[in-house]
Amino acid sequence: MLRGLRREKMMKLFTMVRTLALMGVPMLTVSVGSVILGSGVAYAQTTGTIKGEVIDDAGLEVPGVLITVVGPNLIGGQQQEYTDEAGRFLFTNIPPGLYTVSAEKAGFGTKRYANQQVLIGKNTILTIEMSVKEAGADMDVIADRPAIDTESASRTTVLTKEFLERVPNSRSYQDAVGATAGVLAGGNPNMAGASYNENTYMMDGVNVTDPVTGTFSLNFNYDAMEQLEVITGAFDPEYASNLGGIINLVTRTGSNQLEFDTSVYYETAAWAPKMDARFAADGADLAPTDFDSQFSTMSFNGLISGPVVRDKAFLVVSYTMERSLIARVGIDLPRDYEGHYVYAKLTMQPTAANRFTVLSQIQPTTVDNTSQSNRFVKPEAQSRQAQGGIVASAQWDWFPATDVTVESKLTVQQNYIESGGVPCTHNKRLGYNPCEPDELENTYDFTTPGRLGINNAYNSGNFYYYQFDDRTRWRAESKVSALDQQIPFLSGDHDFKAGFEVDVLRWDRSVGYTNNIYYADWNRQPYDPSSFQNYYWVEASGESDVVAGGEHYGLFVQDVYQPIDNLTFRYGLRWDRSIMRNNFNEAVINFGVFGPRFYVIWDPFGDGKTKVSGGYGRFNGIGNLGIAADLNQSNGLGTKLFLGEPWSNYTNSSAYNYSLNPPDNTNTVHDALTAPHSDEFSFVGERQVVQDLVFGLSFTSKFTRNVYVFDETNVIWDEMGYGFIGTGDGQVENRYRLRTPSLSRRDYYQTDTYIRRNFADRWLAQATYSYVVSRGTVLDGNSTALAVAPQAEYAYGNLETDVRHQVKAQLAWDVPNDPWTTRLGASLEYYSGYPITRYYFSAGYGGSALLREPVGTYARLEPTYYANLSISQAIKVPKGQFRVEAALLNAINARQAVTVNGTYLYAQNRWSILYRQNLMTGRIGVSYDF
Amino acid sequence: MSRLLLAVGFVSAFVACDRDSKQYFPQPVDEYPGVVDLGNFTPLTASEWLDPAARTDKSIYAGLGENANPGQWGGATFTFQGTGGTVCVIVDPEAVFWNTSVDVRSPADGYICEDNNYDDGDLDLEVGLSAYYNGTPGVSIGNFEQVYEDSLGNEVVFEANECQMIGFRGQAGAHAGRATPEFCAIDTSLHPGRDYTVLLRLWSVPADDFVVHYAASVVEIDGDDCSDAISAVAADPECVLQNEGTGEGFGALEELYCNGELDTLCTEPE
Amino acid sequence: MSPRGVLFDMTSATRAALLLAVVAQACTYDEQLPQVDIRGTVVVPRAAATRYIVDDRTGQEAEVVDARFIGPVYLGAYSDIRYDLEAYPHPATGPIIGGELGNTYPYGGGTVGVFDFACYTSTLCKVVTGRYTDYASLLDFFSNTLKQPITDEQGAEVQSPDYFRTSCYDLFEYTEDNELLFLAGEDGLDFKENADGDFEAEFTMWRVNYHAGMKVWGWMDSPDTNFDFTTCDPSNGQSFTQYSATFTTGSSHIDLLNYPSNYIDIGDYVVNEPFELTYEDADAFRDAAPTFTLVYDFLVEK
Repeated sequence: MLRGLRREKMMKLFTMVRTLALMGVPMLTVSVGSVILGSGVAYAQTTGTIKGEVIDDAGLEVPGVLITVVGPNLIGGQQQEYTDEAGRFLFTNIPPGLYTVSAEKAGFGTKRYANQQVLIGKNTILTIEMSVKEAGADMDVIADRPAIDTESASRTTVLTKEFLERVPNSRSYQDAVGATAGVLAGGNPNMAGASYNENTYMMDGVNVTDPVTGTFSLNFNYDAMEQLEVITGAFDPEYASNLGGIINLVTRTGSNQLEFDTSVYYETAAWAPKMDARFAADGADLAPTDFDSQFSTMSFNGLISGPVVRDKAFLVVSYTMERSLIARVGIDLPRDYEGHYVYAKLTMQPTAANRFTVLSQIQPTTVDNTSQSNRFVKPEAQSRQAQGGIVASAQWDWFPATDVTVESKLTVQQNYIESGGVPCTHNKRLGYNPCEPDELENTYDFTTPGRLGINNAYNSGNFYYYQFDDRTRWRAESKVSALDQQIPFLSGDHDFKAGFEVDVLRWDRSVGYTNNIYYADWNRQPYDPSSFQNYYWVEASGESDVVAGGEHYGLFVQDVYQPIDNLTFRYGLRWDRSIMRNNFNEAVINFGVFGPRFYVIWDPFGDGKTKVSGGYGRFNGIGNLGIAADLNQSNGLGTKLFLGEPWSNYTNSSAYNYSLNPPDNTNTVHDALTAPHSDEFSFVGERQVVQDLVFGLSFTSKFTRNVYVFDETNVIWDEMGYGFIGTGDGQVENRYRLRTPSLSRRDYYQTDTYIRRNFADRWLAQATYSYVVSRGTVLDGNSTALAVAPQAEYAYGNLETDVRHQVKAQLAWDVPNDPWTTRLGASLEYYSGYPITRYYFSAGYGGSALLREPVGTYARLEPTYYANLSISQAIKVPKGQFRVEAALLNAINARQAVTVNGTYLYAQNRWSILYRQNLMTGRIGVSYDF
Repeated sequence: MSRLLLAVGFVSAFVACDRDSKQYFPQPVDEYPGVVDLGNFTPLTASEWLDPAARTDKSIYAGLGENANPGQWGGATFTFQGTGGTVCVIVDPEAVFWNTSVDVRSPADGYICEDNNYDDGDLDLEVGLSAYYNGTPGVSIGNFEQVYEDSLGNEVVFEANECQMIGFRGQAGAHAGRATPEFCAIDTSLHPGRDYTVLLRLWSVPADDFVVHYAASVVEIDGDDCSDAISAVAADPECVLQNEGTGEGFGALEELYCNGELDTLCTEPE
Repeated sequence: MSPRGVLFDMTSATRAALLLAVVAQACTYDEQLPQVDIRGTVVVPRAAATRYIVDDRTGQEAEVVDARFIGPVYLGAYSDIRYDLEAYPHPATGPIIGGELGNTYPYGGGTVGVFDFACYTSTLCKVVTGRYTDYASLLDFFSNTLKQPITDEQGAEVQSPDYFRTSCYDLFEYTEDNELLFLAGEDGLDFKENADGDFEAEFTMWRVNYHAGMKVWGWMDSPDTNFDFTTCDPSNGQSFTQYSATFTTGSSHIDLLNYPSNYIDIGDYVVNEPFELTYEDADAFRDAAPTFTLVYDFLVEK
């Protein structure tokens, strides 16, 4: 569903313009945990593990050592176990955070390893050396901090809380993921060359992806995030099936300590340098424009967490209120966004073998004055949108043995979007849509035209209709994990996992028209009452109620096999069955597909400082209800448009001035539909150069085939695909057919070169350079790119994800001025622009914009670059501390174009620019926590 | 404040989930079913057509309410027999008189006239051989789509509605909007004596009473279009069949309009 | 290692990966599309490219053979072709509704050449793609052969190819000649003279709904003495406003294949013997990938 947080993103969403969102505020940070180790054990994608072995002076395994894990986030209290015969230990389902691991055994010294960081889905691997010479001693060990994950092949980045709060960004998780190589940031980022609607979004392991659009569906309190996991490829079968990436935000779990965190932020662009004059010559209309948009936002955040029952039950409650006002130049009424995001999570571990988690998020939001593209819109013609939803989940983790976990979860997710005209008000100062005396404030009156404010007011582009849109996902899933298993006669360890998931989806959408007309000035010219020129209305026939539904079933098995210590095989198989129906209960999407994965990871020197990995995986797109709904059959309702001129001609064609939108959906689906899928080949090489500093190189090639696409079945085109010369059924209409042809494809190559300096000793740094080639025929999930047969000959070319050069760098430094703890942060991102496909108007009926350009002569947008700076200062008080932050976002106020409108060549404009880089804004914030 | 916002948030979230749009639509009216069949109609002769009293007496005057089945078309049907010549079929829904009252949007440019913007309903006209009509008269509204099978067995859905109107952008299947009369000349020479069905598809009911009143007629004509038949009795199609509306003052307003005196209701902008 | 080097190093791996992906896919998915692209050759008689032009100096009528006289060639795939409907072979038609002409319901079609707007309204509906190599070729043909010099919007004769180019670039905001459809370049001309002295060109009918037994038929629109074409609709096409002038670019009528008899007139050349496709289904057709020749040899004389 839609949400609104950042101005650019929201505007894009509102206008339903698909955009390559390079802009966003450059967020940085890549996962730089103080310890990043082996990965792979992605239990529910919300916890990690601590594992390792104990050896003695001679390098021999030591059994019977008591290992204790202690940490504030560890529900159930401290965990203890003895090392086995091979000297190994394993603690599973450890909530992310910092832990102390200690080892003790009679005859040896006791050793403690403090500040061991557990990351989501990762193993924290320790090798503990004990010596009889240290018998009786009690030692705190400062261990090496291994920075390389020598068991993982996935391209995963975990952004820890420490880094999210140190590196300046716009305080949203979508922006934060932009710091990851191969991710083009935005409200719905493009990840690894995939479309914006092919990612999976998870909150605490709960799939919260919009079941209709495949986009994000919730906003979140930035301060409540413990870690943010970003996976761009090569992930195991246990994860969701998709063609893009996975964004998993994991919230704080709570602890035995009562914690309170509250903050207020204010951000504004009021003092940013004015740019209108500078850009006036580039061909875009100056009013309305977003060059010098007005923008301000204020947010209030509160979080409280602590024990309900010490060691047994932790509660986290978080709340964020955000209000933002945005007005383009020439628009009187700012878009007014107000959202309330409430999150609560209760984690209980009544016994050592059982853990229960219940969580819920709601986010009621209103957006007023959503029309920001036309300066003629009058207040009474504005529209309002209400949106929100609820996610509720209950999870039971059962630990029948130390190395076995059974995890089961039930989830319901419901989102709604309601939009319509302006409701009535008793506030006389507003001057429009007054409520009747007996009416409640904000009542919608759809039955009396004029009361909605849409009558007689200029409102081109306005919501002259209203809609109630409910989207629901019910989900049940369960997974069994058996780790560190041995198979007779086969050396080495296995981590086995198997599981299933069931999704039931539903989309209930009512669209109504306010019976039955509205008036507007089509040409923005004064209406001539004598001739009826420059005047039109739209009238509609009433209500359309559409219900679509679907199911998805997933099964997976996988194994992580380590025949020897420095060699790991990760392999598995995933099966997905997807059925998505239109409103007539016809299964539009209906297939079952397999997704095999196989990866090899090698630590050539066996010292944990080098990794070479590579492998293959097939990833399937299971589709969404939105695609199925393209095949919805109309209930026979539609709209009519009247243009200008009076009724004058007395022949059968005298309805010359009228048209009727065909009420029937003429889309069809081709019988042979298959699942879109990516075949991905990846290679990663990493080397820890010095302590905490990693140099890496990775290469990914990804071949996506059979993406959903429409072709056209009725029109008969000339040889150029330029005009048409006939129709198959005699009706002069395009009739589209949903297909998944092999021709509908994307080829993606990405090479990353990076260095990463993990956070330690007060500072972190990271720099990533990515070279990307992205080519194909279609990017989005369901496109009409192949609609015209001759065009397909030319259509293969650069895609919008073809941003060849991407540089991302982040730096944070805690000034050593204790006890003051001043923090400095900076980030920089550079993108070399993306291709603009040039389109030409068809000479044929309707003037469709058609592609007619051979490969290789695409234009490119100018490069874009962003810089953020921040400084924050802590002020300690007897109970807790205040922190004051100042940040400068988009310090380079370049305002380059990031989205263009209709990439065709038309009239006097080569293309028109829709949106530019964000304004430079300043943000100040005050937080208090204890 | 937070507590209040929280409470509001919770209530909003849960209440919103259960909202739908049903209550905001025009409701069916018991006295005026949404799907009716008016039986057989005898086309007027030219002399009957020219006689105002006979034209009124022999034409159809009726009303339609919203269809009780949301999302399904409502409408009225009637039949006539092919005369062997050409007939003109006309329907005039209430009301709209093309005065300028609609332009209060821009009073500086327009006039202000008294009118009820909310008494305009709309019907769309289709005519074809009854054999091609696939609806069930009086039960459900259909259309004139039929299947043609060519010599190779390929099936094509074709449109057998003979009252084809071409839209502003050139596409077939257009109709006039907002209570404007529609008419078509139908050549019955190939099918004398055969049944033709006239479909008055209910597009929208007026907002004031949820009933669209209308007048409809079929008249024998000499030419191949309706122009002579219309211009012979009125300068404007709106005035061919009068008094179709039942609202208070409708007749008087229509008479002013048809007499070219509507301006007496208008005032100059301030 | 430089990033560019990295890319080059991976190329072979990329190829291998691509091959694997294609192979894996080929094993799993056959779309079985019921549409096919039909390719072949059209032949129009020499007479269709022949005009008799009066020489201004001598007053003598001279025979001029020039492929630029050839109008757009239309092709359609139909269920049947009948010889009793019109004075020339004509596709079978569907039901007559309201006394209107029956629709032919074509399965698909194509053209050799399309109408394109050559930047000046004086050329509206007169310029067909694939017939002119460059601006000079157009200017020469209209001035010296047709005796209808191209004029600009101010009524002045266009004589300079450079001026022609400037006008086009200004109007369309184009930057390269290859963006203009009506300029074919030296290698892009459609029709070439064959050994018999007739003219032939290759054609593609895109994505035709395949039905076993369907017949490919067509006609060539011959320009009249004023070099006007009946198949072009001057009011169709893209609408342009330049300065104070608004005009449309013109394009073919949108129902040519549905109602061919509305547009075929005296002087046009019609296919007398349609080509019948007898392959069992679309897959069989694709496997065979046949090409054939269609001869436009029936001159419409009444």
